[in-house]
Amino acid sequence: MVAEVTLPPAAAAPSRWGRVVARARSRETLGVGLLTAVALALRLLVTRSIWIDEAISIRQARLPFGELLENLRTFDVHPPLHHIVLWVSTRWIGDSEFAVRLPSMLVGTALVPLMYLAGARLWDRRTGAVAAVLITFAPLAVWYSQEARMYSLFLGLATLALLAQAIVLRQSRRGAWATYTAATVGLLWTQYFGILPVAVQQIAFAVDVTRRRRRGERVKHVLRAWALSSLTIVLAVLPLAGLFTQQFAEVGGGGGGVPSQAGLTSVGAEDAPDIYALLANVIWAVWGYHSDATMAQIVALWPLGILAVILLLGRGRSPQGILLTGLAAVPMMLLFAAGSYRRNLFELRYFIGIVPMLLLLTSRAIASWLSTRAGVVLATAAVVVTLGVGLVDQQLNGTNPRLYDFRGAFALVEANAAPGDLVVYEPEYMADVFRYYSPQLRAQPLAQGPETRGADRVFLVGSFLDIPVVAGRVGGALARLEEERRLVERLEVPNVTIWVFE
Amino acid sequence: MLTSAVLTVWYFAWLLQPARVGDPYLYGLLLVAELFNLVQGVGFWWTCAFDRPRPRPPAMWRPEVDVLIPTYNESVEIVEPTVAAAVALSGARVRVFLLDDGARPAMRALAARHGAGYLQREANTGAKAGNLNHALRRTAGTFVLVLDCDHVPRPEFLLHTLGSFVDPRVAFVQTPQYYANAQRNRVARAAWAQQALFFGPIARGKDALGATFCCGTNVVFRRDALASVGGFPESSLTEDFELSIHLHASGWKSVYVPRVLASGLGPEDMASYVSQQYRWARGCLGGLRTVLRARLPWRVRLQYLLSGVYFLTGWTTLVYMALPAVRIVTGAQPLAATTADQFLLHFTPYFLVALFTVALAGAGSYTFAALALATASFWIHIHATFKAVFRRPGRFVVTPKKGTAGRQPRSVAPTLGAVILLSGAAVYGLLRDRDPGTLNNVAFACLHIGVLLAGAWPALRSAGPRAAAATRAPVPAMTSEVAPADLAEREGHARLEAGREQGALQQ
Repeated sequence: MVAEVTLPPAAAAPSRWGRVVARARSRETLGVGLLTAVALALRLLVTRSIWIDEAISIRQARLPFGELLENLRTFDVHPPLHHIVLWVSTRWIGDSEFAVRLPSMLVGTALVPLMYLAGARLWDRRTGAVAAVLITFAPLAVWYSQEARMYSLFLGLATLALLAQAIVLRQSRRGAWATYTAATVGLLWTQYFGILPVAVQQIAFAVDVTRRRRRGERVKHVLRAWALSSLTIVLAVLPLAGLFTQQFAEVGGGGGGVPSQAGLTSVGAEDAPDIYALLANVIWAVWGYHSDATMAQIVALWPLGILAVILLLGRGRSPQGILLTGLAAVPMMLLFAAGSYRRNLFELRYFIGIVPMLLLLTSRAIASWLSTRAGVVLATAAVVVTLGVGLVDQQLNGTNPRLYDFRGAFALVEANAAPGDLVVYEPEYMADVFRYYSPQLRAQPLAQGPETRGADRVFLVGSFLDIPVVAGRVGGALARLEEERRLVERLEVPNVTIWVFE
Repeated sequence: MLTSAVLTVWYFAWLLQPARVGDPYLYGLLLVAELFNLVQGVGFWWTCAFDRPRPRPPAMWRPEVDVLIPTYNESVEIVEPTVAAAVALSGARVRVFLLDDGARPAMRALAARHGAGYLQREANTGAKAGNLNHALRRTAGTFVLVLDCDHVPRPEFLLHTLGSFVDPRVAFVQTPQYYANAQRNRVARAAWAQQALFFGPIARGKDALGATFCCGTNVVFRRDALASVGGFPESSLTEDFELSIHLHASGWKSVYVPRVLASGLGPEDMASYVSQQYRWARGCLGGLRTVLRARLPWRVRLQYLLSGVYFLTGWTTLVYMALPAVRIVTGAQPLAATTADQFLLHFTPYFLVALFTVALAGAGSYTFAALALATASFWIHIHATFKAVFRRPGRFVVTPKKGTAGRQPRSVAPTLGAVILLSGAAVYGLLRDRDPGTLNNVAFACLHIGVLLAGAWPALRSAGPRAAAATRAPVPAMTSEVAPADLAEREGHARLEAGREQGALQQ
């Protein structure tokens, strides 16, 4: 006797659109979407005044395209991708604070899904989820999402290149190779120091190919794709060589007279980078920028780093972990070494790519060392609390040496100044930010001379007063003005002081 | 190793400058602790430098081997797998003897069930050593295999060990102790991680230096050698350590076979671990006098000294813990005329490379849990030192083979005391001042608190009883290089092998 079996009707295969919808409804996607919204809100919530470097970028973006390139060639030290993006965006949406920062903000927000995908591709979805949470609240990711400079783009492209490489290392897909190549070219067109993570990634490819060969795997197609990618990168970057040569012939790689590393006084690293400066940079990378006093206190907690190191004992090493450690450590250590030759080369902004790498490593530690979901959630929450505290302090604490409230300062001047008044400012490189906020005011840099006769009132605007030369000049000007006039008011906003003389 | 040497000189050249002296007493303490660690570190490098894979000749004949399994109060379920596996040993004419100091009928029945001999004494003098000596007088095999009653041998145990006795000067062949319960029990896992470092590069290096010492179980002796030194010393808590010294002093050689050939049970709770560590510390520190008096080749003597003084490590932990507390409370500190940056510049590379060396030499087997457990046991070394210095008699306590289910805070009371003191100092410091100097020392205190608590944690949480015996079923006939006794065992073997390969790579 044969049993009668009734089969259920075959389910219809979901359409492509159906798969997309189903995926969009998945818990992970919803979670990442929610985090992305939170990230966008955080990046929109508290913004700060336009910074000196941003004002320079905005001035450049206002130039005709040819003049922009000429200006970059003559006065700048960076490759042109972000400047071009800004040039295009300002023509579309104007040059308000929000508009000039929009590209950075969008890339900075896109970091959330990128980090999720990178974590998930490198290890698993749990790691990706933790990484997405951490980057949402990471103070430095927020900070540079609010700055009309190239560092947010650097962060985004470095993460995208890592994600693409993670895919390539698992499965040599054409799309992933193309993404990797495009991201790498973009990175190099964004920041010359992008060469450092790119070099680490190229070494990782070489190691991977060697290991595959040792295992007896066929690597011909990988080698072909790698060669094609490398060739494309070289060809795409070649035009930069001429620009780089001209820039360094003109500017000498000194970064002009603009101070680069505000906030280092607390860690005694104004002259040459030392171990404390190294620690400070790692702390900035994870917990953001803080006041000198706070940094001195945080850096003093370095013995807890010993605990972190010994926790690694016996944890094993994965190729992904080694790659991320290399991407975090190699650029930092090379620039640390270069910093002893030229101090301003050791700048967190130049190895900003360590931020996603450190957060991914932290995410992996949380996701793999803790065996239960509750443990992972608790540990993630604990880290988020520290990041949140760092974020609030970074954004709102007026003693943060990187918070320069030029917007507030010039608003005060505008509120108090009348026709016939003169604004004198020091240092000279405040010119662009001055022109951005208060182009209508009669103003001149202190370096043009102390001549203030004929003016009704004089507003002396001083900033960067922790720099001895600037402080000296401002002090001298104050002395002269006090001889000639009467000081009627002294106004202060974070890192800017205004003296009003009649 | 060259890097380690350079960085060590870099650090100590800085530390030893007269300008560094802050509070002279604290500086002296710090210096002694650092120099002690330096000696241990150099000893570790020296030992590991000799870590080479050495071929062992297979056994070419079938001698008579007496397998002695001493027992005192262990249960039948613990002992039976060992006896069953012992009678199944291949490669020799084996006679198994269960040496029961507990005089239990169940043990007599167990021996009879497996066709093993049963020996019992009138008086249990000399503890385990006395038990073994008693059996030696009643047996006659050319070789003697000693197995702790929880150590289940593989059938091929003798095949891999007897070949080394081709050299007539070889007194004993030691094999690793592996804790089969390491994957199921937190304490056993951490204890095994400590053991893995010892039975990995350290034991292999000692073997190359001719300084392998007997570890009490999983060891085959030549009967003549034992007889030449009067058997196992009964006055020592670590009869194995003491016996090895006597044998080496008499011109005998020892061999180490770095192959997991038996699976035992590690301590499953803190009380067991503390008991084991105290016995080892007390015995080895007490044995230092013998080491100094014995006529040993200098290399062998140095190796014994290194192994013995390891049990003074707890003193350095005490010093490192005390320094931040003293600084917070009194303001006194060991170093002067320096900045934290300078300290970090000199200390960090030295520390990181030292840690990396341990991780590399142990092929990743040495874990944070092992380090934390060792650190939390600092007080055992101090206690044992006093006992050894004042020659207070120790009592041989058999390491319990089964863990208890409840919490054991008393077994870590001194550790918890240290945690409370450090926490008090940290809170006091934070309430009084939050300048970077104070915060730095509070962070040091927190570092110690974290490590101590991690080490003491198993004693503070309750765990269910473990079905220990079931994890050590006798291994079936060897069908491959690694008999698949269980996954844990396989991993242990793999780690040792990985370490061996690492040694070969370094070569």
